[in-house]
Amino acid sequence: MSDGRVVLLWGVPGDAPLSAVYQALQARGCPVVLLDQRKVAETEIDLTVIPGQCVECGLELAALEADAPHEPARQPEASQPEVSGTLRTGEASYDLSAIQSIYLRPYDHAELPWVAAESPGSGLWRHASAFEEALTTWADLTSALVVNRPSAMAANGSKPYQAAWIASFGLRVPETLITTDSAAALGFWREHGEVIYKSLSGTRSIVSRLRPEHAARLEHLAACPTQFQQYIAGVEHRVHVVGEHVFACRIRSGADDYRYSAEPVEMEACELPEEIARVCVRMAAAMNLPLAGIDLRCTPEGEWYCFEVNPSPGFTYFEAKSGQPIAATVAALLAGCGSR
Amino acid sequence: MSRVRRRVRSPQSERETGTGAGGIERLIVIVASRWDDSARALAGRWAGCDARVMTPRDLSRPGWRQRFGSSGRIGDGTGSTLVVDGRIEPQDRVAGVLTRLAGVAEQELGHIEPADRAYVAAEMTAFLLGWLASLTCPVVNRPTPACLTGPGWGRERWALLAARSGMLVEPIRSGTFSGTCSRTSAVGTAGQPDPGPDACSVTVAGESCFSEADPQLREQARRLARLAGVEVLGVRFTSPASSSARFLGVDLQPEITGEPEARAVLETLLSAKRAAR
Repeated sequence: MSDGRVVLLWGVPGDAPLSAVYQALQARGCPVVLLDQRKVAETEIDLTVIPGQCVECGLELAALEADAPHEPARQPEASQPEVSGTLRTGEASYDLSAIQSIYLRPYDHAELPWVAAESPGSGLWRHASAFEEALTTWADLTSALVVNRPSAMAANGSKPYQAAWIASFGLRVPETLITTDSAAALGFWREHGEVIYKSLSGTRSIVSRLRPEHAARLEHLAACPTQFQQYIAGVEHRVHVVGEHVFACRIRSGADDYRYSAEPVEMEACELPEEIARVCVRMAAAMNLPLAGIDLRCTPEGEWYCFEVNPSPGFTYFEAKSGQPIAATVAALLAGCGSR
Repeated sequence: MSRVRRRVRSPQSERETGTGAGGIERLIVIVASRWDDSARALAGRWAGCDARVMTPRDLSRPGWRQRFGSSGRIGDGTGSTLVVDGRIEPQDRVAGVLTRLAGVAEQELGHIEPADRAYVAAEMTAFLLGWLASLTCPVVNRPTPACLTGPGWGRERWALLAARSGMLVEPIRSGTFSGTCSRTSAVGTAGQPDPGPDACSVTVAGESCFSEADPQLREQARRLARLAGVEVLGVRFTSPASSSARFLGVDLQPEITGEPEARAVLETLLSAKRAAR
């Protein structure tokens, strides 16, 4: 990239995927700006939206305006794009149009210790909030490559919503019951022999097998719909899709949720059946996720189940164990050298 | 208040909300906040059918049984049930759903331990999104991952679409503005026109529009709803006169106050597209 355009990374430098992509971009000699979330007080954004300008601005509204009238109410200077602005960090300033691609790994500003230490009404809090809102607004509207757009990531906030989407691609999803009814949960448990329970939302939860000692707690189900799933025996796979590249990793663990396993977890790079790999790429593309972490399990009978598509995967954990060049591939994608 | 109808659809309320297969009376569900008086009033106006309000409190009652399997669609399994206004109902009684709740707020959950409210609110919102999106009966407006009542777009995106609908729209400036010499930011937004004393709103319900605004503004509001893919939408303007009116914003849960509006929303609900299985 030598046209004055830059790659923007947003997050906290200690975040492993963000750091890995940053280093990979630097290794490529790619101009990169790391927007440090810890320095939000010294960072500013000025975003201007001038609706009604019929110029080639590449907004992501094309799908919505298939039958839209092409009659702008006002005609300001034709050379001005509808969405424009400036990003300032420290002494450096960047025109938003100079940003070719973005990798987003932000934390909720309310969870950042240096913001959380202030009261919600404080200047820093309001500044962080306004900055986050403007940057995510721009990330949803810009024609730059965004890994991943906030609007595309939102589907991960509801596992049942995402499950319907996953199933539409022909991947299996486990038999599931969502209930506030302890009798229904017990019936489902008896029907399947082994079941797990996990959160419905994007809130991270430990996937756990339902065990006899949990039975007494089922009466609490009335408080909130809870999700139970048929336990699927098989070998866990984490698949990272980067554009059209697929990195599959086989995981061997005795835990219900290998992420929290007390025992060592074995991982190795592997090849997926061609059809499954193709479905993963198609699914990530349809979900508008240039980078996705897909959780699959292959049963002893060779059936593939899909549990979740993670739009902000912590891929470095898998990269470290499998040796797959995921960060380098994300960097190539951001630099414009990878397939979108 | 004038009412403009471009194309009169035959009301299907008698057929659709009467008795379904097997002689079961059909049910209209209004998903709303416990404080949404407009939702309760609507249910009252739709007395000709069994219309009831479902609030987040109903998600904290035993009786919800929703299954899905290979299709991934909640409620696919036989025997799926829901809880509406405290009563357990079979899912196949539901003839249509009107969504008037963008998401479950912690404030709705006074019956939940304070420490658990944020988690429970997120879980209930996630469940409602999956459930509403899976329903094959008409759902108005259909939910999106960002908002249970339609597209959860910010002001900027709505403004861009409003301009494409032919409305006059002021530029919007947002972010954290400050001079280069100062680190004291003037946080916020600029460019939002002052609503002023003449501000007015247009309520779109399918092909019907309700407002005192000029026909051109009503047509633009209808066009905006169509572009956004929503059936029910409130659109606010600075003035009812099309020559000077500027776009102010939208409301995905507009107040439905009059009898004609209530009837139009019901007709829209019952004639809305069903989701394909």
